[in-house]
Amino acid sequence: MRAPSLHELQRLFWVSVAERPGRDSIAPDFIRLVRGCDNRDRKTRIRVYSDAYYFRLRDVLREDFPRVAAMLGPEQFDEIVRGYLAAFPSEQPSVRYLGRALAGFLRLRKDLPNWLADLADLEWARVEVFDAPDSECATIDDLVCVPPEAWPAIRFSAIPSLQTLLAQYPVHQVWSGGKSLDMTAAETSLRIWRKNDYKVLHAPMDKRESAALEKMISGEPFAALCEAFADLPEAEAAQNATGLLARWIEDGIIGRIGDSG
Amino acid sequence: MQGQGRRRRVCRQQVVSEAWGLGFAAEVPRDSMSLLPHLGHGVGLRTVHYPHVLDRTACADWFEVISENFMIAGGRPLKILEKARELAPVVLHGVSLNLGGTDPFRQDHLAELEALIRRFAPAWISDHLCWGATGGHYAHDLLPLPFTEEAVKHVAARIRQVQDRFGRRILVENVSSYLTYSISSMPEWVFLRAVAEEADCGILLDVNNIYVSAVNHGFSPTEYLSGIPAERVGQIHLAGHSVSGDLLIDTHDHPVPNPVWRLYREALRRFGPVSTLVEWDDQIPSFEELLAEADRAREIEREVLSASTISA
Repeated sequence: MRAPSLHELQRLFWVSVAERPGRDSIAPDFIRLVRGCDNRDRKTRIRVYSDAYYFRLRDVLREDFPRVAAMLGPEQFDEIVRGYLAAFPSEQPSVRYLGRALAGFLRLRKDLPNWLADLADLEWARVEVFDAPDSECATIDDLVCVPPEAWPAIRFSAIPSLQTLLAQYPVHQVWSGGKSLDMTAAETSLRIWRKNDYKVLHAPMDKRESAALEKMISGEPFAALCEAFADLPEAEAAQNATGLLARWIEDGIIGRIGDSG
Repeated sequence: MQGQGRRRRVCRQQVVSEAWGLGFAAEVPRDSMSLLPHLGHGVGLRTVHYPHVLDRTACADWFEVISENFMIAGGRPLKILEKARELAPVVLHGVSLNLGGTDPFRQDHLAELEALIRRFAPAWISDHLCWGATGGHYAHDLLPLPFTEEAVKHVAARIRQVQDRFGRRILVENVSSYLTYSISSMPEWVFLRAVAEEADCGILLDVNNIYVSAVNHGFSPTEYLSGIPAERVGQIHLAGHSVSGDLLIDTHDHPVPNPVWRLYREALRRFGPVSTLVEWDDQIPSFEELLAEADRAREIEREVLSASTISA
């Protein structure tokens, strides 16, 4: 047999251990390249690598998606992982990105509850937030320093670790320990962020908060944020807007209180 | 004698060749490989140890961290690494450079590693003598290379590419393996030596990996050691393994077993004092227990060096 190039050898190795994760897919041409007493011995040696590939990456996904894994149970999660790894093998040197497409993969599975993909979206957002860039947070004292006449035009910047998620189901309830497998669809806005103590948190938002936060993220001034409360009487709207701002400051999601520019 | 040029006195920790790119003034020849600082007996820093870094009770001689785990934008791990760096020297140990792969190097990955080097000023950097990605897909494993002339040239050229990019030598580590190839034309230790010499790089000698592979493939671990050029060994790894049927698996989930300690003694007799690190990645014990393993390595080094003449 002609000796394969290094590239060809590695391709055969990959096919044998990763093309059908968790299943036997040893390429006959690869068996011949492996030293061993007999074919059984050669296959045993190759399977050390195919098992390690599958189990290691399954464990990574289970760690990044603990609630999804718990909801599915071990057998179904394993089956999902096999399909996912076959469809979306890792393309990044760091395994941290392995789960980037899991939510989308789950969304295509019509045999699974619809909310499962939303739950995966939430868990992936938490992964993203965990190692997002650091930043300082604004304090209530910073807010107090803003002169009254500057308020309408003042802009706030969100911390870089803040993410928002629009889910079709209230999946934060499942994340918190609920087990409603027949969850009713209800559009749910969530914000996910990292506190200064590095804890990753998430919280549901009502429509007004969600609208105001989107305006803040897109750089609109405080006056525009207040439009989220336009359906309320003026005094109540102002009170709600400032209350919301105080809560955001307390939660640590405002990074900087900028100028009116 | 008056009239002769003065020679600057250089303490041991400073005697680090420019060739290693560590930013110190060099008073050693370019080809000297044995002058990395002897950092002592360190431990692999893992997430469960972070509280000990924060309360400053992580009193190891030095820490090794997995480079890829810190190629992130921000968050707790980077803060912990900053704190660890205040406590002891840090070494960056990579798992995904894919030195033996045939895909082009990922420039974004190299740039991230470069940024880490700039930020944390590691005593040195290392990766593995293996491949781990092909066709743009990563196995996140340390996969074995065939021991052929083609592979020597290929890997050595890629190591040189990395060294040129970073302006410093790197260490490459021998991996545990569970299969070898019928097309291999030399033993692993000859391959390792040839790559290190062709690439002009250092060696991170994993003594546990030698033992695991020796059992799995039926070669003599002491013959392996005798084939390693002492002057290129910059670091030693120690770890535990587990048994699966007829094979040993490099699981890093047990204490260092006696056969590996014995091989470590042999390595020290051959190579002299080498910065040594205990790896423990699964079923990780208390930090105290991990430190006790590092202390045992220190004690063994003391015994071996006081009792024997270095044979290398």
